Amino acid sequence: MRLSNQTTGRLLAAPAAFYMSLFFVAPTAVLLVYSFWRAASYQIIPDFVFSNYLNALASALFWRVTGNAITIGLITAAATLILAIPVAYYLTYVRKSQAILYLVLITWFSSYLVRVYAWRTLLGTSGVLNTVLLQLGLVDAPVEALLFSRFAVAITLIHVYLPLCILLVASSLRDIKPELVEASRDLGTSQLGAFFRVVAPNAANGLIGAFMLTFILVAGDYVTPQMLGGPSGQTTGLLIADQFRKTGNWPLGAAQAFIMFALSILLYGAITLAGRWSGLLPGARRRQGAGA
Amino acid sequence: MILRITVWLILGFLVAPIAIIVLFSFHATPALSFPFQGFSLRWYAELLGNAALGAAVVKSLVIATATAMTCLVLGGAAALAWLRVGGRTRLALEVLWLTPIALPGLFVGVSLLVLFAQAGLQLSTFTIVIGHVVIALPVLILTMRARLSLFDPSLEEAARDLGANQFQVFRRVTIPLIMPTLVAAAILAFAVSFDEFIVTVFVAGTETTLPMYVWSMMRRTVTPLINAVSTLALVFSIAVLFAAWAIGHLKRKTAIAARTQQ
Amino acid sequence: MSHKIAKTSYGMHMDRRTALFGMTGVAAGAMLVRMSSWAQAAPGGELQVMAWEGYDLNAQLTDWKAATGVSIEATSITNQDDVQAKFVAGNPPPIDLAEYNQAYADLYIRELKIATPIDPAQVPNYNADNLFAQFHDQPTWFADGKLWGSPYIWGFNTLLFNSGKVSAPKSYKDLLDPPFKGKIAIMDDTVSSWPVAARVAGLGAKYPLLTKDELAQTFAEFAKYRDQARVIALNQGELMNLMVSGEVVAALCADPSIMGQAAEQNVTIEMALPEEGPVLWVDAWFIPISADNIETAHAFINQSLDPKVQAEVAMAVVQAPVSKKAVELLDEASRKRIDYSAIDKIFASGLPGIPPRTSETHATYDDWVTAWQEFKAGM
Repeated sequence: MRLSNQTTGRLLAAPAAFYMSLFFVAPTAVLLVYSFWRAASYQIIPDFVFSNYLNALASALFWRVTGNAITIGLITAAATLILAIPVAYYLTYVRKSQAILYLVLITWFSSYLVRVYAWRTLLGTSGVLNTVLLQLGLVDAPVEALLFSRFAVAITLIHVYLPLCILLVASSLRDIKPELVEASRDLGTSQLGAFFRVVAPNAANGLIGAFMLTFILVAGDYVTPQMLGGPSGQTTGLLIADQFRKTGNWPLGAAQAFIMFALSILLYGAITLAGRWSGLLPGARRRQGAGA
Repeated sequence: MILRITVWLILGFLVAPIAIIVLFSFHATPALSFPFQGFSLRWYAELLGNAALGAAVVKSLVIATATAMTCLVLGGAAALAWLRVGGRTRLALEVLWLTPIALPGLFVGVSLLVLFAQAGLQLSTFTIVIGHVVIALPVLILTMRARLSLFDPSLEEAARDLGANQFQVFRRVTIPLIMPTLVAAAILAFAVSFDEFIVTVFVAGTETTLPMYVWSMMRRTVTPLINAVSTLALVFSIAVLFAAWAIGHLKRKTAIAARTQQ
Repeated sequence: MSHKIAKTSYGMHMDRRTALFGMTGVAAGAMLVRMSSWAQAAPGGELQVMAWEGYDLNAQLTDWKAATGVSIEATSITNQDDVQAKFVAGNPPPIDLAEYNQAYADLYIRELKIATPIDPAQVPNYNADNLFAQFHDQPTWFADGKLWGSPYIWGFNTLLFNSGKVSAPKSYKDLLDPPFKGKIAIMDDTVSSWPVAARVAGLGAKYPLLTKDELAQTFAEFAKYRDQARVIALNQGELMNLMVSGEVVAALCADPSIMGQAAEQNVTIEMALPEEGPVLWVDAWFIPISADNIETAHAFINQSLDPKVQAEVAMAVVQAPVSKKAVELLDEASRKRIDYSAIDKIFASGLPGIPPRTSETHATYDDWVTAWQEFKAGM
């Protein structure tokens, strides 16, 4: 007896599908249920109320920190993507350098927490960057604003997420035939021109995917912003974590998490729409893109 | 040329902080800021004498290995499935497998926390592994998906035409072909797990993994000891990466050699 | 439970006493051992301890561990809230012993009921002869005729400054002076920062029971300090680095134990005792409801009160022992750090608590947390 390809495929998919249903879909559902419950002094009471959502949405604090998270997310994701593209382009079309690939992987593998501290060493008042700026005579006194600012958070998070972004962009570029790029180069287009005329339109979905993924990871990160951002580093993630670890108000934390999730989806929709309008993204293209 | 310079500048940006970490792991004083005051191995010596840190490293290694193994089995099967199913099933599976990447770790962490609390399941090393697999599996599937698009199904077809049954096809043809990809992806899962912090905080009971230990150590004092830890971790990952590369290289060589002999 | 005892009875390192009681245990059966107070002499197995990093006594109890075969599995906490968060969910971990700040006493014992009473008979070192009066049978830990927590170590947070760069402040308010502009750190540690916030707003005497208006007033005043601050430091390690690198020259209210570490890096940090007073704290052990190695937990508490252990741990973490007898075992610098003969005076101002969980009339803990989050976000 020979099983059809579809059937074998389904059987093979079953374990991973089951795992994800049990440990991703089910917990998300439980969290959703929790977001309609009530909390009173660490007691979580089953109920059906919208007060968690309403309270979160009515809170000026919530919008302030969410604004922080989105700003940091957008700045970082844009910068990360811009930096990832040349490297990915180089790796895909110019030289398939294993060395560069492994260099990228190694940075990805180095400890997150320690990297945050390394950036602090670099950005401090007596840090490397300030020393260099002073030596070059670009500034008269150390720039204190390098640390504990949006800049510090953004540069650190770019560093943290750039390796992943490079890999994502590289994988979306791989879908485009190198011959296309070569042809346009032969016609005298510059690398930059080749990228904008040939690569970008064809890889748009993948690039947007990489952007969104970076955005979501960054906007949800609360450790780096908290350590390097000063007041602008207070983000939604921190607020949510506090509900679970400090006040014990899990239902409120759950509601805040879902609002954040909804905002991400809205933003994704907005970017996709903007892409279509601007003509960068051709209409519905289903079978492409490496992103989420 | 401009492109090349840009690329190297970006890579420099990636590597510079890592170089700083490594440099300060050899610092003779406890300071983590410039000026640099001389080399010493004192932090590595201190590292060897720190039993709690050793325990945290072991814990993290165990968790990362378990995560990588689980991902290897689940993800391997998923990849094989991905080569076979099409249409709606494929789309549904993609949504199921890939959405976790599109969510912040915090979301995964708190949702697992409420699930475990609701189910009365005690938090343990086991629950940490569960959490790590949830975030590592999508990364693994995503990486493999890209490579598997290069897989040639006609090879399986040929084996089947020669009378091999489904199991034999897997064992003799498919698995050897995708093995290097699988191993590379599993190493990635290992790395994701080894450095995971945000999800772990929520799903760890009494366990202290390496990132958690580093975090609590930072609470009291930040010394180059932490740099020494991460330098060793870095050396370790370079070794693992090199091993992965070597395995892939050797496999390919032997495969080619075997084919030319036949 | 029983297997833990059994394991030790045949363990490698047995002194005579353990061996004897180990045999008794085997003969009498595990249940009997558990119920009898003899069990104090037969601790064993794995003890899960939840404590601040460096406070788990793993380093100080080496001999005891070797003699009894107990292994201490420590879980580090980075925030007192980490502790109750673990026990209020539906799946409390099998932690045998956890450390807690006195401010959380009411919450843990009366509200959340996550502590079980300690049997003083199994903790012979808990006695009036060994402990300072401030820690023996005081209402904070001893209530309804039961001992809920065993005080273990104490200290205070106060104003710290870099004496090489600024002159000694006399009040928290001095930090608002121009030389400190953009050069101070406020600790993201609610247990010590909230009382100071209330004090600088002139409401210190009422803390932790402030009305919502008073809470708003407190943070309106405290915002001046934030505007003066370079950073709200997450933890001591961070503060230490920032003070050493010169990023900040003073900390509003922080743990003086960083002074020694800074001295190693040739930066002199001194502490000032501002007129509004430092913020005292006392950490105690409690046995959580989900503990499963209670005998060993008792034996551990007893060890932690041993004068020698007390002196060693106090020196290691640069804090103060609760044992009177430990004072003479401290090295000179540690002994001089605090005037132990004036301990009555130090504790006269009382120990701060935390705002109530629920209240009709006063700002609750959640209100304070929100106010704190807004404060940190610059609102």
